[in-house]
Amino acid sequence: MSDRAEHDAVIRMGRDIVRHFAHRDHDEAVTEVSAHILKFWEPRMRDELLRCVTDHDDDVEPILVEAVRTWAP
Amino acid sequence: MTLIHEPDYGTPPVESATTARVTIDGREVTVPAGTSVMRAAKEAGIDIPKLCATDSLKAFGSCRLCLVEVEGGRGTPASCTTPCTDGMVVSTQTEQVRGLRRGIMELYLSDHPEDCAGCERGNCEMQELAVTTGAAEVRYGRGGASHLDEAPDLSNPYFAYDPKACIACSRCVRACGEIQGTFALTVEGRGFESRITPGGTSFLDSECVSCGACVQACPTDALTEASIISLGMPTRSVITTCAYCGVGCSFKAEVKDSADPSAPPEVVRMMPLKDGGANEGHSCVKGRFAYGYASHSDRQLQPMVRESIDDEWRVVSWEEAIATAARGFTAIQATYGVGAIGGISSSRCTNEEVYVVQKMVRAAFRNNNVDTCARVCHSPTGYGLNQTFGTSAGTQDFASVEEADVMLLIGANPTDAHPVFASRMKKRLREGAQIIVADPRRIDLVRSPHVEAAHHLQVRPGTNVAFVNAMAHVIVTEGLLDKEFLYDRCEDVDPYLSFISLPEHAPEATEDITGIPAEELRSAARLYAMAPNAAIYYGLGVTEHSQGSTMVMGMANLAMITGNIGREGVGVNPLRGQNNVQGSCDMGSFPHELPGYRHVGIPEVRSIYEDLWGVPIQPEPGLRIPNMFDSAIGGSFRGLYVQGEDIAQSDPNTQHVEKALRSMDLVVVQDLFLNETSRFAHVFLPGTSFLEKDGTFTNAERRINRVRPVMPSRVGKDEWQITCELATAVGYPMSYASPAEIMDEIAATTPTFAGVSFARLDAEGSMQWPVNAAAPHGTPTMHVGSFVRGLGRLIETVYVPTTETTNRRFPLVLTTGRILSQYNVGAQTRRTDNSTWHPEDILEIHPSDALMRGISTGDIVSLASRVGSTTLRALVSERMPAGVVYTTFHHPITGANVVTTDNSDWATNCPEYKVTAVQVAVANASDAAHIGEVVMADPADSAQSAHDGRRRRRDRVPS
Repeated sequence: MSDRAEHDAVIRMGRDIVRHFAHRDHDEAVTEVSAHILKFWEPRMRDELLRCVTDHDDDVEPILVEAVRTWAP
Repeated sequence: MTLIHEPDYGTPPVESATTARVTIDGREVTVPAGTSVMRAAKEAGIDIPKLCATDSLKAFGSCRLCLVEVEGGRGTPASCTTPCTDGMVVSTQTEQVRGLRRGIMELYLSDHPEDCAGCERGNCEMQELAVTTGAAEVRYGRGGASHLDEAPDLSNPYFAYDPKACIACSRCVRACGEIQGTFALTVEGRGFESRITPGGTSFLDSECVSCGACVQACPTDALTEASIISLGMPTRSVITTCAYCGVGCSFKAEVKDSADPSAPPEVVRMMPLKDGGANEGHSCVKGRFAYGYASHSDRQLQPMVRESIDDEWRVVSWEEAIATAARGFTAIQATYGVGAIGGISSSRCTNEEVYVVQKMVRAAFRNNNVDTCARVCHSPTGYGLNQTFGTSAGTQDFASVEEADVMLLIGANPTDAHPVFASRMKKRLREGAQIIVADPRRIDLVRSPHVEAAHHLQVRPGTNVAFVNAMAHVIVTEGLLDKEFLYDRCEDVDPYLSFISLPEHAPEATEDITGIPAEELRSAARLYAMAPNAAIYYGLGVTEHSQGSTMVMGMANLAMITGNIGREGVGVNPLRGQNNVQGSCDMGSFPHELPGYRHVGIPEVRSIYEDLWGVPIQPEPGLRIPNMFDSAIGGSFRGLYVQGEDIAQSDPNTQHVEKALRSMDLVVVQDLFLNETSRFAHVFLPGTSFLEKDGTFTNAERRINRVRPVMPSRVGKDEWQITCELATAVGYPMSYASPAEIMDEIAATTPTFAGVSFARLDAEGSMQWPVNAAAPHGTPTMHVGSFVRGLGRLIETVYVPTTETTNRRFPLVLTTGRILSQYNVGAQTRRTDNSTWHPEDILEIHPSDALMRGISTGDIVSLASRVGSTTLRALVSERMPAGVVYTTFHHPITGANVVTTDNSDWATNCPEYKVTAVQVAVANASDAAHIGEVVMADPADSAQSAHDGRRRRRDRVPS
């Protein structure tokens, strides 16, 4: 079980990325968010994000959920 | 090695399309038309005596020593103010001019101390000139009126002014104006009464910024370095590079060897190098004078270890320290996996030292958990310029500003943070260029002697992107764009033009967001767009925001839509904070990139290193600094090697950083001093100062400069050696015969450094990357003809407001910055006399905000944010707009980062240092004693939730 801070951090960072691509078409935004996270995030951060998405699907923006699903369907 | 005396040609070089052929004392010389006779003579090998002339200053013609005779001309003109004309025949040594010079020199000597200490030391030109001009005797005697009883001004800690030796040649006054651009000195009185004065007060209390230009210009002993007075003249020079800001000035370190061969040589003074590509003979108070930290008694010179951070440090041998660190790292990896450790490289270390740190992490630690302090300053520059132009670097050299007609300065304060470049800017402004300043604070470049910004756009902190979009909107919708450049050189043009033309980007629509009046912004945009050459310069006021990367791309868009890229006088130029920020980024310090900004995911790039190093390279990015902290608190990251960075003081939300550091099993700190971070360390490895280093620094203009050792390492090892030994102890043998060999490896593996070697740098002086077959001498201007990525890419820059918002409880916005005399966390400058000017961090607050809170200048106030609080002294000032307060983070006792938050740039995690919602109040007695307090949660505050769980009492220890 990871610390709450780690959870908060990946959610905050994921949301920041989503907000910067939110103006794009939905599918484009999903692709951009996914590509950005794959390019710059260390795997354990991606795993943490996946956990957050899996555990709290309702709280997370759909674009972020779909972005995560592109590498972890 | 001996003392290097750079030749003085008397007057500056002249650029001209035509030449003049002149004959001086029978020697023929061809010079650019308009060159002074004095300079032409020097080029022909003839020295004409002079006192008021020096080649860093315009000719003045006051001392009358440089008189010559010109065939066919009348009288005896001053050679410094007489331009060469074709066919001119000049005599410098006729009986008539010799007689005149002797008489003038006798007059000077009649008012010069017979026992001049400078003449005795060889630091005063008077004695030599007396000999040259044959003025052995002073016929006028020395009993008449003189200035020989005037008292010296010893107020400045770095130099003395002795009016007895002053000949009122005004070289100091002109240096202060022409070179530095401060205009602090003046000549008071006329004729015999003429005296030099720093505005009628002492040097310390004056406007003087202690850049040293006046001392350097003074031909006598009147202005002399205090170190020359106390230590005497140096005996040899070593050409090296300053270790402060990203300007990267070249210096002659002038030293005196000790009679005891086992004792290190003493640095007598640092003299700016006229040949230095970045500084061309100029300096600032930090580089010129603040080097004393290297020999400060606080230097920790021996390795130390301890079991727990609550134990006392124990001095050990190098072998034991390195073995302890290696054992710890290996044990952590055995238990928690390969990714449980990492390293942070330093922008104050050389390229070679940084390269071996990332190599150790990748080859010995076998992961990509390496990051560098650029993470917290210019990482958005890396992302933004890479996305738009194709590489992470400023586009110009510093000299390019001399061709700029309009400068757009955003979020930077060069007169304090990059003073030598600021002097270049001010010089260009005095020549008629204009400047637009976009900054919440009224910095000196808004208004100072001979500088008046065309526009000061007082952008509200956190709204840069709305501002830059409005600029672009005006340019596009008013048809001021360069369509030919856009469609020829760029891609994604039409979507961007449609995006930026939307009414939401109009300055009238953004006025309420940015606080910039629409009409003022429109005028500024027109000025920028219509200038023949417009150049953008920017600093951390751009990058250190949640939208830092977007803003960098927004500025790149501005340059592209106006065609201001790919030639001299234009471009997009980050002013880098530390001496080797550019270099540490170039050297593969980021967790997703190998040297030369190549992603670790590219197999062809990895294979270059895998083949050479003989180990597999991880294809996934590693942890960035803030991610390391989060993972440390989470328990998966447990060991850290920190080279020359004080993360516990410099990184945001100190409580969070300290918690992360406490969570780790092993923290290894390599530094000059036991810094704040070392309070949480288990192994301390002493580092070397720049005076002991052999290597290279790369400055903000991509200029690779040599750093040469003035003395051997004071800790017994070079820093690159320490890293190599640690890597070897961890299980990956790493060794080099010299730092030159490390650079050879960099050149062999990094295309932009292909033509770089120590031998080439020693021959060329310096080179700007890319240095390769296409550009064997380097590349002063980038993106000429095409961008590094081929076509420049326009990117839609959506304004996304920061989540750090003000409310009733935290109604003010804190933004942070720098001050001239201090540098970064102050570890160096606080250990010098620079603290004379800035002994503590000060909170600047607008009069209306101060009045409302009953705050007066000098009061101790508490500064509280959602994450923490601190106390410091207030300065009521109109430099800040109402609603915004400002401070620096140079002093650990203030700990300004106790209040800054975890918010960061969306793309790079660069912290949002520039926007923190705060409250300020007159401190109570316990606050004033510097005791932190817990900030209570406000359930009504929506932004509060982002910080929940991270409110901590600041755990202070006596420093």
